Amino acid sequence: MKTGRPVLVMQLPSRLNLSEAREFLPEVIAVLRSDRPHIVFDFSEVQQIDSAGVEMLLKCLERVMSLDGDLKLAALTPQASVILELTRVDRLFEMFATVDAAVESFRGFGPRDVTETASTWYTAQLPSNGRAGRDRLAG
Amino acid sequence: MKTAAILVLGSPAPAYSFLASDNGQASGCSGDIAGIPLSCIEILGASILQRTMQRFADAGVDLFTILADASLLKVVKLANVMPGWLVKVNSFQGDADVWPAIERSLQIDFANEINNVFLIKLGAYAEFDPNAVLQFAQNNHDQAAVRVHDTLGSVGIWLFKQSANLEAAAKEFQNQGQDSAMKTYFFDGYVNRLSRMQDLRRFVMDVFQSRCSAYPQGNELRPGVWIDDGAQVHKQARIVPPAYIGKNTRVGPASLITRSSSIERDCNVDYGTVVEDSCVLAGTYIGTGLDVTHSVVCGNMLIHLNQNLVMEINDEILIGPNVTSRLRGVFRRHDKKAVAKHKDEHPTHWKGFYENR
Repeated sequence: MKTGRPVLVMQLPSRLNLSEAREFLPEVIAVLRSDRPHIVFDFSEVQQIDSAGVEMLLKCLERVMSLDGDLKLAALTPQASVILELTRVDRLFEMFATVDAAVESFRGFGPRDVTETASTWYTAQLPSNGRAGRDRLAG
Repeated sequence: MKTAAILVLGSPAPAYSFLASDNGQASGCSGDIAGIPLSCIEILGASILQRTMQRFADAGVDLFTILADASLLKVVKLANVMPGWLVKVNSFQGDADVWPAIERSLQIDFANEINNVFLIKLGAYAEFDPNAVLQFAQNNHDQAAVRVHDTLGSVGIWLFKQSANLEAAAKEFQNQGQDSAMKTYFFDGYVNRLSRMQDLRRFVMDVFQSRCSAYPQGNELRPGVWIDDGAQVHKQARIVPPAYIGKNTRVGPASLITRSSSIERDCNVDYGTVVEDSCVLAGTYIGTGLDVTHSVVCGNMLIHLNQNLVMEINDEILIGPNVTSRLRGVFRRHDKKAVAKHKDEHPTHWKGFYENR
């Protein structure tokens, strides 16, 4: 299932500190015009990241989530990975070994999949004196 | 019978060469702990140097000579050598000068009517009985030179008497072949060769799990939790045994110290931070709400043991030298003596810092 929605891959600078983050954040916000943006941050060149860089990532995630999109991280260097783990931010993002894998992950999960999954889940949770659950099991 | 010990600290290794990985960025290390031998780093309240000296002092060694590279003299002087021991500190310049310096010290000791001299190439932590080595030498027709080995080989310890052949010993000391006349004393006690940072962490685990006879400093306030003098642990902080909190260290509210972690002296673990399976070395600040796992942290250096990675984090919001908290706490009464002492002990922490700020 292909969504057809474009995935934007953004290369992060090698030093993600306060000054770089200040320059980079407006660039990201500028491309967040479309509904449900799909963004991949390419970390392959990131050698240094500090608390300002982490804050920038969180701001981007917040903005993307508010537009009902998703932000994924790809090709993390060990340095970036350690800082994200240290600051407990790693658990907020989906991470991929390569940019291609991250892009592909957007492709494989279309709007119809979302609807089907959601409706199934909703049926299972219906408060209906246990019949729904039994029916599903029987079916 | 008089016995002396000569402890040799080699020339400083290139920064973090003891980390067994190519990923370690040696060039990016700060001067704080870069190049300091692991045996001089304080762990669980005492360095391996101190623990080794304590072992020999307990066995009746009267006189210690510490031979260190000139660049390490300050480190040795800060090593907090216990009072009551007679300790001489001499220096040498570079690797070529090591054996001549040892030979001079041996000759001085023999001239002072000391019969037995232990030579210890510091590096490994070995739990053996020096008196057993002396007895072994005596039982073998008063052997002039004895080397100490465990099952894996040399642990860097020799015993010399006045009649020893020092030329052959020099070759053996410099790893250029074995002295055939020298007898080998084998022991099967605990040995940690401390060649990598992972070994330092393993030493902490071994102490906590009583695999060796070393113990943390301070008081065991409850089973498995050692708290040293002056440490402040917030009542909302949780410390899961086994754990060690060093002198004058502050553990903030909602923080968690777990899975055999040790926090050395003068550290500050801030609000909500988790320290898990890690060692925080002396004088380190750990920021708010962090997860420090499988690491050794010192100042602004983070050494991730699972990923074999050395990182310098130039962001004091995350980790860094614990200067500001000390200024807030210890120095807030404008105690000039304490400031001067701290400056002397941690010169690098004061780089670019103005007193009048």
